[in-house]
Amino acid sequence: MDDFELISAYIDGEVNDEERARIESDPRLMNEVNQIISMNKKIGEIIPNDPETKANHIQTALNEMTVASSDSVIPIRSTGKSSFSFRRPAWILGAVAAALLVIVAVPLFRSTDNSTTQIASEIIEESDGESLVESAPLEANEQDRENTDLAESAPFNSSPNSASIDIEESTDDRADNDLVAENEADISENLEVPRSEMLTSDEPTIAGLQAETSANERMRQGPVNTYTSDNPDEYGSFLLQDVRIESGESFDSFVIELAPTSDDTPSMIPGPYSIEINGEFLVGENSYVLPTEIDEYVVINLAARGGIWNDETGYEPSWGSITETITADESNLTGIYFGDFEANLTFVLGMEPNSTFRSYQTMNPPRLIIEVDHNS
Amino acid sequence: MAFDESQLIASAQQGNASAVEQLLEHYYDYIFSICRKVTGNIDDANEATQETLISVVRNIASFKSAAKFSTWVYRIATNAALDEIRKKVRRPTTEFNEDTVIPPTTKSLEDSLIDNIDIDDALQNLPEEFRVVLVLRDQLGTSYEEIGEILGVASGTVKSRIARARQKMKEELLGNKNHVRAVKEVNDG
Repeated sequence: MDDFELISAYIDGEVNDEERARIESDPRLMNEVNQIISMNKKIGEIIPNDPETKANHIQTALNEMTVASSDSVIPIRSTGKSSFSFRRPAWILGAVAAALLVIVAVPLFRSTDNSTTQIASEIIEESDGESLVESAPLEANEQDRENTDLAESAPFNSSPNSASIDIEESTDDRADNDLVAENEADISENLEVPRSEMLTSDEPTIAGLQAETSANERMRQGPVNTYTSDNPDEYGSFLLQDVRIESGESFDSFVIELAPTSDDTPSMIPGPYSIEINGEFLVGENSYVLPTEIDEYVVINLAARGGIWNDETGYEPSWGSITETITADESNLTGIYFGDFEANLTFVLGMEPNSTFRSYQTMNPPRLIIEVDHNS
Repeated sequence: MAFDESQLIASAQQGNASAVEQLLEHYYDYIFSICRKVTGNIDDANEATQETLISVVRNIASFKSAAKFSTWVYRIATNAALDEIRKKVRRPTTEFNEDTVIPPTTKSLEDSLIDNIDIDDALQNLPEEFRVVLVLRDQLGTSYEEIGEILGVASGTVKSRIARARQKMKEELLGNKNHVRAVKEVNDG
């Protein structure tokens, strides 16, 4: 080790006793040490950025908030397909919303040869290329609307095995209504809170859900949207921006990203939602039936529309199909199914039995995230 | 309120934006300083800083608690800054040659520092690998081992690079001093 390397190591405390003694006994070396220490102090000075740029940098980064590191982001919207839009008067838009009942399935992650899934994928292929409205039979829509009206007039069904929605208030339903009221109270309180402080992943009534799936277990009964206005600028008009799976090292994240319209109240991001294990979802003549091999699943209902508003009069359905698959052996996800009716979005996540998962929401951008652990 | 980093990291990994924001606030100045000193200019530093923050936010869920969080952040910042440099067409820098004969000088280093010689200019004249180790060591107090982790080199290599970097830096500062005096003499006629 030459003298300069020795001096450098001495400054950094990386010398042994013998080396230290050699330096400290040599005035020439100690003089050099002091010179380098002076220089190091100059190099070590922190250079602050201007506060405004700093704030912008941090806010921009926060806007990118997501849950997992992954190179395998799978967007549901197919980038290879051209989207379409149509613009119609508001009265037609109402009919559009009433007609939207799309229950589709996307390829199972590890069961891509499943026939049911393939059929469902075809449905979504058609939907992606053509108007969802025009492909939906009117009779079916009317029936669906009746069924959905029932669903919207009652809390989300608490009986997972029930074949129809029970509109009479059960004990569980009353408890659910209490929870709704509680959540609404929370929302009112949140109106007073700065937006940056409103991420509430650790608040048990809104987010931070922890659950372990087991047959017929109901995890949470949240306030399902009952608002059916077609006006995008009114309350509850969140729009689906993107849905994707991010495959991490120890869990997969199912990310539902919404886009608020201009007048949405911040308190409603991402809007009312419920998560239910093995719950009911969109019963009716056109309802989708899960493949028989899907024993365990989570139903996610939230108040948002399955499309993107281009402006006040234009509605662009944004459904696409997953063409990629998750190949991670340890993934517990077995499939994703989703549907849209009026101002409600429904997602069904198929999982392996006894999978563990969590859910939480982020404010900006408004996302609802379900993390499904891999096999340990 | 005390800054409980491990608690904040845990919350941030659960998607708590407030926790993420606190972590970013805490590390911002260090990140910016790394980027500023490694890139050598404010525009590239801002780009690299933004990239670093976004990368931290996007990947914090995958951060393993076994690693030191600061090391992880500094690695991201260092790579972002180096990436930013490589994106641009840079002015040529003199490759440091270990065999270069260093002319002896009678000027003291303290004189150069006291004279407010721009230390950033001197830093920018260092080869990239020297500049990075100096910033990580002298600005952030990062250990040889951590610098080795960040740069993917052995700690022995880090030790050697730091010594060479300091030696080169000293020469640069003294050279700047001579240059400044020469310019001053010309201007003074």
